[in-house]
This record gives sequence, structure tokens and C-alpha cells, in this order.
Amino acid sequence: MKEKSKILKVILYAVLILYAVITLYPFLWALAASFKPLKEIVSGNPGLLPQHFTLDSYKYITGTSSLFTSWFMNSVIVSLIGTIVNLFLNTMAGYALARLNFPGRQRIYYGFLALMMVPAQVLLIPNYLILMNLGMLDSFKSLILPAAINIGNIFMMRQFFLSFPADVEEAAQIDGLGRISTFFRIVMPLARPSIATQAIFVFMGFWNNFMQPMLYISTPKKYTLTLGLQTFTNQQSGVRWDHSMAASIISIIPIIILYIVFNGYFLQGVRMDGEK
Amino acid sequence: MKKWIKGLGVTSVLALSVGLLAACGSSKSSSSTKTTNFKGQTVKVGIWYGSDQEREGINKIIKGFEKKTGAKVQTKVYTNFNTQIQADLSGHTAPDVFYMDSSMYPWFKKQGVLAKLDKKQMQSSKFYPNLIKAFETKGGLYGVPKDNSTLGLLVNKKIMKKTGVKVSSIPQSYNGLIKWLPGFQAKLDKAYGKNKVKAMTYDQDMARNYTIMATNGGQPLTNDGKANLASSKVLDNMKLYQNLVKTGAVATAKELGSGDNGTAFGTGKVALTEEGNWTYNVQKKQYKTDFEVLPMPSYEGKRRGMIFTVGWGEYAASKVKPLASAWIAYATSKEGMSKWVKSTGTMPSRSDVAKDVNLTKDSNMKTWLNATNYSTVWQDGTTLTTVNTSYQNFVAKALEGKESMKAAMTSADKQANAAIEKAH
Amino acid sequence: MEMQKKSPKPARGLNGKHGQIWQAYIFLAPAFVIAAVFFIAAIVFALFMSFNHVNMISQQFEFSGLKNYIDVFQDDVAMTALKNTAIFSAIVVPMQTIIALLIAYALSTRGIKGKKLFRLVYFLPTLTSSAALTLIFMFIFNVTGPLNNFLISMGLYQHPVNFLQNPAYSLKVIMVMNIWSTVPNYMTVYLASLVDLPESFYEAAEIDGASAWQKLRYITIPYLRPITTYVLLTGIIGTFQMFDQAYIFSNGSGGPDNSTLTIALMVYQYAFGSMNTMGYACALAVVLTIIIFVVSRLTERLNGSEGLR
Repeated sequence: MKEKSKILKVILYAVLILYAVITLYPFLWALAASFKPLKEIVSGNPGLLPQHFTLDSYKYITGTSSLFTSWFMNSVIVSLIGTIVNLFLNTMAGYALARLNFPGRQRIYYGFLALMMVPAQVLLIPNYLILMNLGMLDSFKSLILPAAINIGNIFMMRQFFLSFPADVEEAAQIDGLGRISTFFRIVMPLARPSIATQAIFVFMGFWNNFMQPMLYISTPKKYTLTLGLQTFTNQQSGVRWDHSMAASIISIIPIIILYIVFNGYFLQGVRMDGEK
Repeated sequence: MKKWIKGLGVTSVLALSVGLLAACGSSKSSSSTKTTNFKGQTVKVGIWYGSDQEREGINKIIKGFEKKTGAKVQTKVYTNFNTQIQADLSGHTAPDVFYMDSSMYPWFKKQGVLAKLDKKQMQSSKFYPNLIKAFETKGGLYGVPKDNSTLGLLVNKKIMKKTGVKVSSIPQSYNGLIKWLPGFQAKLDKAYGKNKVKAMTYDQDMARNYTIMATNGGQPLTNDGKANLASSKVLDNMKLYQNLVKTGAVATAKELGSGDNGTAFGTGKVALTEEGNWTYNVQKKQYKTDFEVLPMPSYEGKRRGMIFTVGWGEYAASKVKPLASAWIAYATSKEGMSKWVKSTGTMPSRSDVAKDVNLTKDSNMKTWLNATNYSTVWQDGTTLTTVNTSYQNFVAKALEGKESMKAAMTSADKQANAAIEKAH
Repeated sequence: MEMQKKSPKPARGLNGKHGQIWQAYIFLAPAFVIAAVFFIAAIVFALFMSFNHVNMISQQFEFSGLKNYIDVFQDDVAMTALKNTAIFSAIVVPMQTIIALLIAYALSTRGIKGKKLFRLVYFLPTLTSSAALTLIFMFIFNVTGPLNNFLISMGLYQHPVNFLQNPAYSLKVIMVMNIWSTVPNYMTVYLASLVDLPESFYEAAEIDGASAWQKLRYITIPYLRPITTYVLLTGIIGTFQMFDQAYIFSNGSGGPDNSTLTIALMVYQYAFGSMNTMGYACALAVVLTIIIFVVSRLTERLNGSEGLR
């Protein structure tokens, strides 16, 4: 029995490490490329490490535009506000769809599901026109409000609440707490692992969003980071691998930091990493 | 519950429709009164950046214009022009003036979004005739070319030296090249090792191939805008590319692992390439390539190449039309265009500016500039991009020899025409 | 419906049947308002356009009945795109689900060390925009790129493979890229749910002498069924709507030889091409939506009815 569990562990570690390597491989190349001069990247030099280490790409990206800091801050503001609003709306809706009995619940659930299935490309112009009529174009509202709910996450929260133990709520209700206060005081804190997961997804969605800022924002000072970085891609001089890789790395790093911080904050005492 | 959803939906659509109507109503343009003092007004210009130098160039023009007129200039930088401009035009929120490529001009004109410009104000007679004509419809002027680009045959001098082949011995016609290339490739293989350096790159893009396709009365598109790629004259002309590929010395940049010709050329993967003057600075500064530009090879007795030109268009629903016109006039004036070409290294669309900035003193730039005389402007009706998308989709298979050119072009025609049909 | 108008009852009453209805509306209302304005209105508008010949710029709508829909079914290119999309989905969805589940299971096994580090590494792809990822992948799969160098140095190939331009490979490269970048999402979702799986289930099974495989098969997988429904459905929706990667990969053309043409890319081409075919684009989108809905329902059924509770 002991031998067996040892072999199992070796297999599990092998799987985990192999997958970690597969995941890291492209990133290491991207990271390395961001420190190489363009000539070295495109000439197909087989080595991972830069032969001519350079910070030029980073200097280029942070130096060309004085707006870089405001783009970064815009992204932070939009992503943070958007995420907080989303967490409440999605979790509430998901909870209602999973736990509350009301007529038409099934239909509303399928209605939401169906909304998720419409390809976004076709809604771009209708949404543009709606925002225009609401007078919201070229404002952060145009980025936050249409994305204030995420149907995928409502669906995810519903599925979480389906297998969420019901006894806690029942106990709280016996103690005289109403549904609404039970939800905010008991259910939401207990659902922290799922909410943390959702928070990361939603934040990422806002942070990496590109299509909406591209269409809705026209004042350079209000650009988000993704949109701002995009203005560095030149149309005629070929793909600037060096610049685009550095831009990608710059946009990832704040997220990684945030992820590590959030991971600690949300998961205190909650065994999200599977440790019992 | 269901009724409620419906109710909400219908209300929103009603609100939306009302909004749309309001938007249509408000798009009436202000009457144009000739003023020269635009203090307090703002003109919005829609542009994209082709290079870093262009960013610098546009800022210089803006500064000059703001000083001269007292108006304010606001830029909108497009990164995905087709999507963004269509949303802007649908919402009536397009900039007062915007860039448009010569190939897209017929489409913009057809949509009725372009304002007619005053030929005198724009000094239209000062421009190269083939360039200004690309923005004229029935004698009216609807756009002014800001600059232009042509193609030339770039030769990597370092590679030539290593193989011991003189630049002057490169044939000046495609027929000559087809005979000469295999021998040259053998020398490259000897000097660098097999498959290390290709003799020449070519493109699978109608924007590059159009002038060859249209030789001897070839009509890649019919007069009413249908794809006509499988027609016998076009197919005859396409044999040129098939023969080039058959030499074994010609490939696309992508087959060499580069995104574009300039990259393949700059990294020494290819000795000869057909490329535009926009690569000039990239080669000099980025790759430090030692190169020379030759005129495009001749086909059927004549040199042929493409001209790419982008013009300024004025939005028909602009509320500051006089100011918008003044911007275009300034940006394409001798003063404005000189600022532009000095920063960007592009070629001016006016002969007086070309003389003034002394472009011809650089022999390479002179070769590109002279190409304006024998080249064809990239433009052919409103359906050109659709046909080109389809062409690019199918041409590779035929050039790789997996399928006959006729079969590939027939598929391309079918797909393009099906798409064109749907617009009617 | 009349329940709505009743005034809120005191706390205890809220737990009754009527109270629940009233609460459900409160909980759903904000989400509903957003959905009505930015989803339903836009969709109704798109539906309306699908029955018209549309010129967006001049705002001209000319009723054309079912013409756009008939065109969809007579369009060979649309059928090719549908085929590509279906193949893409049929391979990517099972792969991403299985890999995500296995990795999550391995990560949640007792006694595995360095879980936090593994999780951080696995999460990297999720943190990156798909535009940046596609560029990275195109670089890796390039003719002179790292992967070709690796394959040749291993002696697996004599000549570099043109993964990006060869129609036989291009869709497969996008599949690999898509699986690679979506697995971490789903793995995280699985992990968050595995936390709630009572350890006593496993312990009981161990006393009965169950192997690791049996525990996975008979405890973990059934327990995760509602989450699997979520993973499968969002996977299907995501793959059927695949756009970014195909767009960047083919420069918007869907080539070479229509090999990377997906329905969503086609919708984009017709909506934003220079042809005034917004109506046709909307019809294509409606057909795609119906297909996704049907496939999702079927999958949901196959996965068991738990998701439908």
C-alpha cells in the first residue's frame, strides 16, 4: 500500500511538472524575446537567452508616450470598479437562480444562457449605437456598464451554489436572519473561494479587454493600457516582435502581482489550494 | 416573466430607434462660410501610424496648423481602421477628416460620407495627376493624397559581394530573371549552404500582383465589380508567378519564416526583394542593411509596379467643414507636406515638394520616385478588398503546385462573387 | 407576477414562498437591467437586421424576408466555416475539460508540495490577453521558430514544418493554442469546487480499498458534475465563437484555403467588410446561436441532469 502511494505521487508530480513546463515554455520565450534586439529575434537564433541583452524595447514602450502612466491608471480604475460591481451582481443573480424558488426560474436561467451564445461580433455596432444614445461614448462608463454583469460568471456561481451545503443557511434562518442578510453575512463570506475565482476572471477580462476600448474610447488620455500599447504597432514596418513582447510582459506583470496579493488576501484560512 | 423580458426588449428597441432617428436628424451640416480665423474651434482628425516617424510628422503639421489658424486639433488614432471607422460612421461620430487608402476610396464615396472639396483651395493641379485622380469621381474632388509609395527591386549588396555576382548583371526583365535565378541560387547555396539564403521573395497579394494581372488587357475584376480571376488573360499573366516559383529560387517571406519582405531582407534571408520605400528607414536604422534599389523588372516589354497612396477625406456630416477643409489644404500644402515627408521619409504627392525637399539627391529614393511614372494605383471599384481576400485565400495552393491555377482562381471567383452577390 | 407588488414582509416571512419570489426579483433585478439594455436590446436589433438588407452607415433597412437565412444554407463557404468550427469544438472541448480535471485532481491530492507555485505557473496563460498569446504562439510555431529548431535537433524532422501557412496544420496549431490557454481557467474552477468536497468521502473509499483511479472515477467526477456542466457549456460556447486567434492568425482572411475560417470570423468579415452585408452577418450569427444552443442542450443532457436542477 505504501509503495503504491509512492508510485502514485511520482506520477502526479511528473504530470504536474510536465504541465508546468508546457505552460512556461512560451512565456520564457516571450520574456527572453523582450530583452533581445529585433534582429536577433527574427533571424531565428536558436538560443533562448539573449546574445545581445537590451532594455531598448522597454525604454521604447515606456518612453515614447508620456501618457503611459495614465493608461496604466485608467486600466486599474476600470478593472477595479468593474470587478467589484460584477462580484455583487453576478453572485446575487447566481444565488437566486440556484437557491430561490420563483416562477419562471428555469426560463430565466435559459434566457441568460442564450444571451451568452450570441456571437459578440454582431453586437458591436448595436451596442455602440446604444451607448451613443445614452451619451456614454468616450467615458469609463462605456467600458464598465455593459460589462457590469458577466453571464458566464452568473452561470458559474449558480453551479457553485448548486453544490453548496444548505445547512449553514438553514441554521442562520432559524436564528432569525432574513434571506438577504443571510446572503450578505453568511453566504458571501463562505463562498469566498468561488468569489475569489470569479474576481480573478472578471478582473482579467477588464484588464485585457481590447475590442470595447478600441471602439468606445477616442481621447488618447482615456485609453486603457491594452489600447495604448496597440498604438505602437506600426502597419508598414512588419511585426515588431521586440516591442510587442515587451508590451505583453508589461501588461502581465501587474496582474501577476495582484494575483499573488489577492491569493493571500482572499484565501486566508480558506483551503483554495486544495490543502485540507 | 417572459412577458416582462419581451416588454423590456421592445421598449429598449423603441428607445434605440428614437435615438437613431434623432442621430440622423442631427447630422445636418452647418453652412459653409469662408473664414480664416478658427479660434476656439476644434477639428478632429482620424489617422493611423505607419511608423514612428509618422507620429512625429503629424505632430509637426498639427503645431503648424494650430499656430496658423488658432484652431485646436484633436487626433484619433485608429488601430483597426475598418472596424472602428464603420462604427464611427454608423454612429455619426466620425472625425471631421480622416485617412483613406486609395483602394477604399470608391467605397467611402459610395456610402456618401465624403464631402466634396474645392479643387482650387486644395491646389489640385499641383499634384501628380495619377494620384489626385484616384480621389476624383465625375470631375469632383473628394480626397487629397497626403503622400505615396511605390515598389522597387531591393538588392542586398553584401550578399552580392559574397557570391561574386555584380549588381549590374541582374536582368532587368522578369523573363531574364527566370532564366538567371537558378544559377544565382546555386551560387547562394555554395556561399551560404543549401536553403540558407533565397534568391528572391514575391507576394501572394493582389495589392502587389494587380499590375501584372492587368497586363495585356487582363481584367481581374469586371466593370461591374465581379471577380474575374479565372479569365484567360489574367491566367496567362499569373503564369509569371508560377514560372518564378518553378525556378526554385523564389519564395514568399512567410515561407522563409519572416512576417514580411522587409524582415526577410533585413535579416539576410533573401538577396532580392520587391518592396516599397517605407522600408527605407527600417533597413537603414533597424537592420543596417547595405542595399541598393533597382527599378521594378519589366514584364511584356514594360516596367510595372504598384502605387499606394493614402488621402485625406472630409466627413460629409462634419460640423466644422470650413475648418476641416482648411486642415486638408494645409496638411497637403507645400508647407505642410514638406514637414510630413521630411519627418517620415515618404514620397510627396506633389512635384513641387519633391523638388523642394531634394528627394532626388538620394539615388535609391530617386528610383522609387521615378516608379510613380510607370506604376498603377491600387484601386478598382468597391469590391476590390473582397476579391483580394478571396484571392489570397486560394492562390497559395496553385503556386505550390497542388492545384491548377485555373481551378484555384475559379474557386476564388466563386467565393468572392457569392459574397458580392449578398450585398445586392 | 402580482407577487411583485406586495410589500416586503418581516424577516421570518421572507423565508416563505412569497417572500422568496420577492427576494429573487431583488437579487436578479440589477443583472436584469444591464442585460436588458446591453444584451437584449442589442440582440433584438441584430435579429431585426437579419431580416433586412442593411446599410449601417446610411441607416437604411430594406425588408428582405428570409433571404439572408436562405443564403446561409446555400453558402458553401459558410458550410466550410461550420465544419471547421465543429471540428475545432469537438476536439478542443473534451481535451480542455479532461486536462483541467486531471490537473485539478492531481493538485488537490493530499501531500503534494508546492501547490501554490504550481497554481501560479498554471495560471499564467489566463493572465495574458489572447492577442499577446497568439503572437507568442505564432512566434513559437514559426518556420525558424523555437519549436522547429527543437524538432529538428531531436531528429524528428529533416526540414522545418511551415505550421502557420500549411492548411493541414494551421487549424491544429490554433487548437493547441486554445487548449493551452483555456485549461487554467477551468482547472481553477474545478479546484475552487474541490475544496468543498468532504474529505470523509475519500476516507471511506480508502477503507474499502479504492485506488486513486477509482476515487477519481466514483467520487470526484460525480461530485463535480454541476461544475463539469459549466465547463462543458462555456467550452462549447467559447469554441463555437472562436474569433481572436483565427483573426490574428490569418490576418482576417480565414486562409490558407479557408482552413482557419470560423463562423465568428465570417460574421466579422460580413459585418465589417466593405460590402454592406450587416444583415447577412446577423443571420449567420443567429444561425450560429441556434446551433450553439442545441449542442449545449444535448451536452447538458449527456452529462446528466444535475445541471438542470
